[in-house]
Amino acid sequence: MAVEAPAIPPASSDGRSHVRRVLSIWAVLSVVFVALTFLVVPLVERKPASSVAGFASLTDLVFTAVAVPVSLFVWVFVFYSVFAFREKSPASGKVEDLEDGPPLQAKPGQQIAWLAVTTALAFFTVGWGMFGFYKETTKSAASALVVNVTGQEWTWTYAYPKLGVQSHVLELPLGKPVQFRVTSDDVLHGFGLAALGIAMDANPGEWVATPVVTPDKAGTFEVRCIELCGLYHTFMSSQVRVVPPSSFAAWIKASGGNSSVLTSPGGGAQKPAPAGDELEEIT
Amino acid sequence: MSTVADTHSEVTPPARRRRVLIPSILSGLVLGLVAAIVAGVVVHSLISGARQADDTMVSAYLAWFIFFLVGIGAWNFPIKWGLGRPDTTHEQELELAGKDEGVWRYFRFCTDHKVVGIQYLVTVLVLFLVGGAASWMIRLEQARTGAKVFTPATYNTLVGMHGLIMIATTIIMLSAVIGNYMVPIMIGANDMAFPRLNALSYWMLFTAIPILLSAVVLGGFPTGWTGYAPLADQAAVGMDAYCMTIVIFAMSIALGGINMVTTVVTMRAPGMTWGRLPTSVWGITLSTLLGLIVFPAFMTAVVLSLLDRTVGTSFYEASLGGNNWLYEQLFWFMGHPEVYVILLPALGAVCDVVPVFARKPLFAYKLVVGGEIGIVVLSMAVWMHHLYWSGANLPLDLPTMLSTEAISIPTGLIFFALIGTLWRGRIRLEPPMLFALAFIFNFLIGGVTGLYLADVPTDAIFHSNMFTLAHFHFTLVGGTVFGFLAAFYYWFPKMTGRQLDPWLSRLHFWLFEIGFLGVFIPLFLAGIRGEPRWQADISPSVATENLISSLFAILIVASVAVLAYNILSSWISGKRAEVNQWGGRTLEWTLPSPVPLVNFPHPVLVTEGPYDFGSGGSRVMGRPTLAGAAVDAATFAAPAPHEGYRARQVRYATFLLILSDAVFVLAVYLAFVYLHALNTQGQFKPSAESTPSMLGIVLVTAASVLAACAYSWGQRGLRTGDSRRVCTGLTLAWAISIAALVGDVLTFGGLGYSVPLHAYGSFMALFVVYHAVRHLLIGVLVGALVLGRLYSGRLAGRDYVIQATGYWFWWVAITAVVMTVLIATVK
Repeated sequence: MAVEAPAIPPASSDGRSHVRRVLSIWAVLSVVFVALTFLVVPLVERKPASSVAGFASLTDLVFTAVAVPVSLFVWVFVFYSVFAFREKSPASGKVEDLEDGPPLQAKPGQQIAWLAVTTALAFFTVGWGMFGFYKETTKSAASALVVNVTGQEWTWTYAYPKLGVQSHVLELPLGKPVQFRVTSDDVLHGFGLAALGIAMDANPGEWVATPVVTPDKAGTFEVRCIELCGLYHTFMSSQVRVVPPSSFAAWIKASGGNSSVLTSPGGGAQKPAPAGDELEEIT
Repeated sequence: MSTVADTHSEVTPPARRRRVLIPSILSGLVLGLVAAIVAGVVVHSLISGARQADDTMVSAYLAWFIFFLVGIGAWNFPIKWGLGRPDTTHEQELELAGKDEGVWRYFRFCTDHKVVGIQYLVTVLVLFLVGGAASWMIRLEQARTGAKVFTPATYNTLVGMHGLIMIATTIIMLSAVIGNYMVPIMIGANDMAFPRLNALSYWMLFTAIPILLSAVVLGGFPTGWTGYAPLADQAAVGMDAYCMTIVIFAMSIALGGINMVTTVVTMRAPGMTWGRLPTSVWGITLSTLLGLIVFPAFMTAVVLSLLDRTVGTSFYEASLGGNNWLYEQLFWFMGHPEVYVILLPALGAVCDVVPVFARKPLFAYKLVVGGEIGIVVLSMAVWMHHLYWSGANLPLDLPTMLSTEAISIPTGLIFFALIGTLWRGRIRLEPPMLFALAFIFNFLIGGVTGLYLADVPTDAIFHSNMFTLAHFHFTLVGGTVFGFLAAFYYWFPKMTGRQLDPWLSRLHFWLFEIGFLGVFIPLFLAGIRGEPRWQADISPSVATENLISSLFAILIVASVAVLAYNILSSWISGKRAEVNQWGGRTLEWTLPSPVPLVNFPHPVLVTEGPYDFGSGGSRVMGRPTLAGAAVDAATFAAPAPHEGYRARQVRYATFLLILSDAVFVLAVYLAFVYLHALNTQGQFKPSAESTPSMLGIVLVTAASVLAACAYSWGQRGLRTGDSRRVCTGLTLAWAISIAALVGDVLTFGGLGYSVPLHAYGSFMALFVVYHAVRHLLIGVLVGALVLGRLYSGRLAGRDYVIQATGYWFWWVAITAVVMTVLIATVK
């Protein structure tokens, strides 16, 4: 059943005006929505309480600002096509009477352009992430207060080894670098301190060091368990209090610890382990 | 019967055969249940102690699995073949495929790929309903603060059941349903390469379903669908149900993958080049190939868990040298490619549907196929992004971030193709097209939100957060399930011969899309506000988002009701479907709806591509040749123009089986080396009390090598026509293998059952169990069948069978040697 080859409509005025229309719609919507992004994203997000969390917030903003025009590009083309090139089924109701569209194929230039742009976007996001990761790990502070975090079904315990204190509440001095070393007594748990931008699994039999982080906002935050650990996983959370150093020293003293270490040279801090390091012993 | 049939398929009721009750699903259920009870009771009385419950249930499950398949007649053909019965005749094959049989053929072991496809379709729809019901209960609980509806234990089980059922269902929803029904037709074949294996894959999956559901009454399982150890080791008996489900499912997937890939490689009609293959076929083939490569890693992870639970090994027990990172690495090596196993068929289906409803060629077909292949390759290099915060490999986070972001490039090519196809087309918004368009919209959101998770700094906040959950629901549901529905609406008329009501179809679409967006967009917000996953009791700060989400879930429930009503009423009494309902060009649209028992009575010649709209030329891509050709009795397919057709298929299948097994074996080797590397304080070494005998292991390995040598010696006799040599060699190899099997049992038995095994000893136990159960048992059982047929004289001219079995014997020997060397040297 051969059908006469229909003449392909020239890719001139008609086709080009469609492209112009789509691109202008896309440009306008992109400007509008990117502007909205800069307004809405900071409103919706939680306020970061450390530079690590702050960089994550910035990343959210930048990635969204890039993702918006990229997504709009696809959506505008799709929605425009559906509206501009829509066709009703033929009156006869027979599929044989359906008319075909022009047999357009991708030109090499279009393919290369698409690949180049998507590759550039991918590498941009990778580069950005590498920069942040580098800041967090290699360029972190030279000394940090060490807190040992032990997860067990279903509670968190915090030990300050150099200060001789154990607690179920995580109290931290404002503006001082801190590193957590995380382990578990039984099953896998997840130490999630999102306000500071920190997460690390609590593995039985391993002590793992988190990146060094400096809380820069006083207040009350939360640690949540972020790895399903059984019956009361939902309720495995604890309070985090970031307080001025003097209040921290007072709390250490009141908890029966050695607060004089805080005023000694070094202030109870030590050289942090590389982030992600699996430590054999607790020093 | 003409293949280019009239508009409506007239059905004159043929003379019906008498319904056969044995073997059938009824005899399978009865036999399986009885065997399960007997096995459970026997084991319960023999074993005592902490592991009694686990051992009882696992034995019961194994017995159910084996004897259900006995009862349904799955093993009848192999056993008859081994006993030397004559080859089946063409008439017998047609009977087995359900000729002139009514609806009962769906309830027995039936080899017609179309019957298997419909069996899978009904199963998938039921599983979606059950998994969906679990999700509605989750939304019900999360609608308000306070654990008001379910206890945390029940909630954890609901979450786990929902996850596992949906993952399993989305894996098979296209590969098994469209893969079985449509792929042979789309390539111009009359059935799959191995029709009996096909039916076996289905019924294997069927046995896994009661096992999984039994978890609910056995205390559930607390780990969610990922089954993380060591929580899995600690959990109650329901966890064994989870483990057995995975083991059976992995086997079913491997067999399905072997069948699918062999079929597409060897049975394409003349003219059906790789460049003319519809993207659905590409997607399903690549998906099943990837599945058979990566699923064995999950099986390894779960088998180790099962051994920890039933035998007392300690692969994941930190105090005895085990490590939970082992589970995580094995699991996610499967877990990430697995989402592409789910995605690729949906991508392929959408790329098939859109050209038909835009009446334009697929824009950049080569880029789509290249993109899918790129996804397959890259997907095996990104799994560590699930482990950014596990502590296992922080230095590897950067290369992983690179590969993860890079995977957006091949995925983006698909969007390029879809935009280009729609552009300046002649677009008809029929239900399949609506779902395909929604796929593009939803999957883009899913893909873009993945960027935040791929990026290490932002993932620290979003890991295991509702943001992650919303991301993967957008890709898995908004993307792949919508792709499935596009395919479902597209092919339903062809498969059932009925049309779905167009108005109800559109209603379903709008209810589902709006409901879906309304459920998951608020969950993105809840994640940004800090809500973690797996919350049996949501905190007040995210109560509003969760309430809105749960209210929109009602729309999804309504959409499912509409779909169910549409399917039931249409399948029973809907308008009859046209031969070419939508104006497609692929081969299935030349056949009657529903497709009759023999797809192509005359071989097909393919002359054009599937998407050549608008270039003049015929309405469909191929036509039946005028000369009728004899149809091969065993496979239905027209024989290939060259010799050794069946030999080629068997060789491909054996290679794929060994490939799949190789991943399991490699996972075991790497697990051994990994635990050795992790135990830097020297805990990973043999200890006097809890290690199987090294001598025993060396002896069974030597026996395996001897068996392989004997086999090869016997095989040489084929060349010289010395049949006595062949018989002697093969029999010797078989006998030595049995001796090795006995040796394995004795070595394992000397373990001292009540002692928890140290991690090192656990590997020796694993070697023995695996060597015996998987390698030797298959060799011995298959060997018995081959020997039986050899002695009956009916194996003449089928040297490839002896060759293929020989490959397996050598594979067993080589892997045993490597493992023994590893155990002996890595201390």
